[in-house]
Amino acid sequence: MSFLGIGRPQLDYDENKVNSMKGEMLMIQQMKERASDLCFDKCVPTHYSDADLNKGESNCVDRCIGKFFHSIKLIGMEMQKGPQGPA
Amino acid sequence: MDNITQKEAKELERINVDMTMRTIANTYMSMVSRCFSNCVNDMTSKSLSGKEEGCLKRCAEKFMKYQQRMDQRFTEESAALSQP
Repeated sequence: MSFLGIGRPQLDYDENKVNSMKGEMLMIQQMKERASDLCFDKCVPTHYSDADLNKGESNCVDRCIGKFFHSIKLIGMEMQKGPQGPA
Repeated sequence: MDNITQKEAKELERINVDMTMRTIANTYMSMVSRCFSNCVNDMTSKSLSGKEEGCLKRCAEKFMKYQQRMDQRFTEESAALSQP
C-alpha cells in the first residue's frame, strides 16, 4: 500500500501464495540436485570405461532414487517426532 | 494446488525459468568438477593427454545419460509422494 508515496508498490497477485510455491519449487530442485550427486557417486564407478550406462548402473540408479525418497519420508517423520529421550 | 490467477502463473513461470537456468549452470559445473577430478591427474603438461580427453568425454556422456534417467525416476517418485 503506497501512503504519501512511501512503501513498496502494490503487487497485483498474492505474494504469500507465490512465495510459498516458490519455496516448494526450490526445495524440490535442491532435492533433485542432491539426489543426483549422491546416486551418481554410489552407482557409477569412476573409471568411466564407456560412455553408456550399463544395465547394472541403470538398475542401481532406479533403486537409489527409490531409496532416496523413502529416506526423505522416514527422516521427515523422525524430524516431526523430535528428539526422543535424553541426549 | 489451489487455483492460481493469471498474474500468479506468470510470476511462477518467471521464477521457473530463473530456476531452470540456475540448474543448468549448476549441473554443468558439477559435471566439470566431477569429471575433472576423476579423469585429470597428470600435471606434468598444460594440455590434456589423449587418455584424459577420452575419459572426460566418456564421463560427460555418461553423466548426461545418467541425468536423463535420474530425472525420469525422480519425477515418477515425487508424483507418488504428492499423492495423499
